[in-house]
Amino acid sequence: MIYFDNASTSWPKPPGVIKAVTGAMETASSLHRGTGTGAETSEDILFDLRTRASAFFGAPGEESVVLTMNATHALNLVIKGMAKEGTRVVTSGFEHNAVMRPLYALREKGVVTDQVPSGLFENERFLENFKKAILKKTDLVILNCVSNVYGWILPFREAAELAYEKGIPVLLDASQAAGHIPVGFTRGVEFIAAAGHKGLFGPGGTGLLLSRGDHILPPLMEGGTGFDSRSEEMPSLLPERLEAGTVNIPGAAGLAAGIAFVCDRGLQNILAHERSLARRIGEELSAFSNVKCFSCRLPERQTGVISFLVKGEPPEKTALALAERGVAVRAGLHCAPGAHDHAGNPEGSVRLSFSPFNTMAEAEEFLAVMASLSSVRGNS
Amino acid sequence: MKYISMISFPSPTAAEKALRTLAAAGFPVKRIRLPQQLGEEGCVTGVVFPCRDAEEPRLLLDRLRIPYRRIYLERAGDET
Repeated sequence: MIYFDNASTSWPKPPGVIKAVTGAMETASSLHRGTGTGAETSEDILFDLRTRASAFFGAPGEESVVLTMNATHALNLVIKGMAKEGTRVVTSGFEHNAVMRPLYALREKGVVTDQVPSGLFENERFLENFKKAILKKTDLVILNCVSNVYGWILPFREAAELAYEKGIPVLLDASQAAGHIPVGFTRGVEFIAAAGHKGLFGPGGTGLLLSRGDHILPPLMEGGTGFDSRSEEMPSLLPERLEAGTVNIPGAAGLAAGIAFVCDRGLQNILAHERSLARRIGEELSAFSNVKCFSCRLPERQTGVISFLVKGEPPEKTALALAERGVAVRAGLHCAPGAHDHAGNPEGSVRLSFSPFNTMAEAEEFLAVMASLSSVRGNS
Repeated sequence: MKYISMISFPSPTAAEKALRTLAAAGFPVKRIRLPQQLGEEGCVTGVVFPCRDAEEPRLLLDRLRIPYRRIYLERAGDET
């Protein structure tokens, strides 16, 4: 099988990740609670993840790293922790439902969300409209670093700088950026939410919330932390304040190994490889008269994620034809209907997303499969 | 060494950080779960290491800028 669905979940996982998860299941026991070597191993595993993640994102320290269930969990912690009645949030038009649904849910509590208008790959227009949007009272900016549908690298650093000048905290959704492009605590960035199971190669069910530490968030869940049990409240300090219950230690071990893999390969090498596959496929797909391909003329504005549509065919049908020929992709709205609307293709798309494990030979094989589809040849 | 010092920290993550900082500074530290009789909850992570007197651990923690909650001292070698 050719697997071009790494923006959903990266696969395969590096051998080191599988070994780390297995190792943790064999050796680790009760975190922050029990005694013995198993409990100590758990402490080491979690602290190792915090150290690696903190260094990877340039966070202030291990205390800044909260292990979450996924990026959605991390985003909800910040959104629901920061938004109060009357809060105004500014986002891009290319956000995932992990951002938009919590914001929609808060509408009835008087939280107002403004999406900055811009078309796909329009950095200049986005920044121009972002500047205008934050002229009004703004309490929080939430920005997708990379569109999960189109691989568009939004000008999030420039936007965070503009927000900083106005004293507005910024939450970055790094779900599609982490492991592909550098993301860190540049000026203005207060929080970074990241998925563990995508570009960081961790197991499913892992994510990270990184905090600069200037805002104390209320917990989404209360429960045991293994210490200060007499207190009726969650601890005041990060990261334990936001980690109620026993955390996913095998997941932490795998995620730490995934980050180590990314560091060993090097972000620049990973991005260059994924972009070369996207560029090759994008060029060829654009040559089919019956295919609409969403690739950017400026390659520096796009990661190794590319979407396309076969004209007159639902994306799901194209994806099914590809699956029957051994190519795994994703089709539909990709949990980001607004991104499709802003890009002018509300019907959805077929998405290809690459990893360091994909090869140019797979890209060529995919193109041969595409050329064999009657719908692509235009005689369906 | 006349004493064993037992140190509690604001959180498990702070304890882990302190453990590594003290170990890197050459102290033979190990983890313990501090007993409730010392005013801490039974399973809080602490760090234990031998010291010459009551002042040594406090000065050390201050010098290494390690945030801590409390220091408990126990006389070493009483059993022998």
